[in-house]
Amino acid sequence: MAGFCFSNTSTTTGRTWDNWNFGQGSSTSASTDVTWNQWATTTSGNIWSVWASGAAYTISTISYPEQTEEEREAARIAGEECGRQRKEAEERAEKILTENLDEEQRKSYAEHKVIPITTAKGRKYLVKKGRAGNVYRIDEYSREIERFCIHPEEAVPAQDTMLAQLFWLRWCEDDFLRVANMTRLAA
Amino acid sequence: MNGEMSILRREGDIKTIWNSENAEEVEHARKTFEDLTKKGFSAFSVKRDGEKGGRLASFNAQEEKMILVPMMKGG
Repeated sequence: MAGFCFSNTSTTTGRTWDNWNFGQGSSTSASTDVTWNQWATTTSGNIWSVWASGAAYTISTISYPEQTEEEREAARIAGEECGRQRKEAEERAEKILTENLDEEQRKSYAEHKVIPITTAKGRKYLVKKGRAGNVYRIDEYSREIERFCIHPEEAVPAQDTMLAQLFWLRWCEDDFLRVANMTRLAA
Repeated sequence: MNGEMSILRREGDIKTIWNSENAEEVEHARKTFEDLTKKGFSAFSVKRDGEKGGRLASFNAQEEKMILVPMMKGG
């Protein structure tokens, strides 16, 4: 790429872009032609053509050695362990969530997996089971008018996400509204 | 009096418990609290049935129970 260097003295009377277009590559043979033309049509051929057709290349494929029976078994056990840990995490999250609900919220969550909350400013929200886009503001007719997407950066269980959303709505609604992405829904 | 701090993590909540009269335990809990809140965790004091409590700006060894939530972001 040395041909595109304009640090030589021949550029002192013009702007770099002009020099690019009118005449100055570092190669002396290019001095009477524009750089782009030099790129496209050299004496020995069109550079693009050479680039496209000149060099052979190979697409490599990667083959993995077949797993042994022991490796398959180890992978199966690791998968089961991962699933067990996830289930335990969700059970703990379910417990900590329900511990922090009032009676009405607990009932709604048990029956519908939805937690209603009225904030200090009097706005009403529904926190549905989920991690993203699961919080809705409702109007006086219980119509969903806005949807919010906000969640912990860390992929905590869904119930912990809901608890975090509830805390933010309950005690720092302004921060919730500042951080969340909001979608207006048809009334 | 015993205090408890639940930290919400990917693998489920992790609890830190301290006796408010044990300086070493309190210091450990305070350091955990401060390290996490510096990383963007928000801390909440909670009471029974979620009726009372609030956001915590700093560690208080007299709190019975607090929950730390990882940094929140818009999706």
